[in-house]
Amino acid sequence: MNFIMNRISLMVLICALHSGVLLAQATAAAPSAAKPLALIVDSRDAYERVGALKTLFAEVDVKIRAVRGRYESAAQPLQKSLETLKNSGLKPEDTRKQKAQLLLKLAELQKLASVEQQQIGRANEKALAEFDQQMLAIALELQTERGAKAVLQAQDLLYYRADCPCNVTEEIYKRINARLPKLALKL
Amino acid sequence: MSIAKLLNAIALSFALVLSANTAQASVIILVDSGKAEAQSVVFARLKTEAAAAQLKKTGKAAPLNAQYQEALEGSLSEWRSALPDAVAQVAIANKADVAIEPSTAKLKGLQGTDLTALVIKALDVQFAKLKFVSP
Repeated sequence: MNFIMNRISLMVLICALHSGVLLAQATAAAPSAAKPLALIVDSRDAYERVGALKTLFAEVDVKIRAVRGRYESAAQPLQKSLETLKNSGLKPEDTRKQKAQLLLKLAELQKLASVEQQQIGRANEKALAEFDQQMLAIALELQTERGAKAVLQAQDLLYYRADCPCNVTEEIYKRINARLPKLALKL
Repeated sequence: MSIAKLLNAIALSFALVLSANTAQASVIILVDSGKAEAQSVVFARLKTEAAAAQLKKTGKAAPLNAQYQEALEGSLSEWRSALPDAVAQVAIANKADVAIEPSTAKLKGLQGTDLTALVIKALDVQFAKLKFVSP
């Protein structure tokens, strides 16, 4: 009887030890289930999903069009005058000076338009840098919150599972839309 | 003893279930595309075929002239363009969340199982009949 009791106690002990090991394994593995090794961000459609970017690009587009419009309306009469001179029947040496003046004015207008476009471009870059900074801050915030080791950009990956819970793109868009409703184009 | 064995078996299957569940959290596999090209049998064979074709035409096997190099690149591009699909297939088969170049993983401090060999195998089987097309 004693022998049987001992065997049962031994088995219970083995089971308890085994369960202990399993429990330890489970608790050690559990954080990796809750905390993925890496988070994924696929921001390729950010231009469509982030309101601030959409309005920024619309504003840039309007400004660029305005510059082009101003250039075209200022250049048109000069181009017309050049055409008139060309078809005037006058000798080239008689119109040379006038032509040169018109061409110079056209070049100045073009330069001015180009400078304005560059200014818009620089302002756009600054706004985008602000956006990138916010994106990075949110990504790092999520990394800390979820205890992940790294945040990976989708374009740096060879493959990622589309329905992976480690894909935090939607959460990033949600937070950035809430925190950065507008990006200012500071000219 | 048989009860102990039974209990052990139950415990073991419990452990397996646990590990299977946790494996789905964030499984990273590594695929080295440079190594895949370097170790592919099809890649090596196409290069040999290109050299042989040039030798036959010009009497010189190496280096490949621009025309033959271009033709070789054309043949290799079929293999190369199928790489993303092969990586995806291997990743799906291995229940991976992410497939990444080892260099990127190292940069990010991540580790994973290198399955480049499986990708090479899949592509080499797919393109076993791919031939070099002479210019």
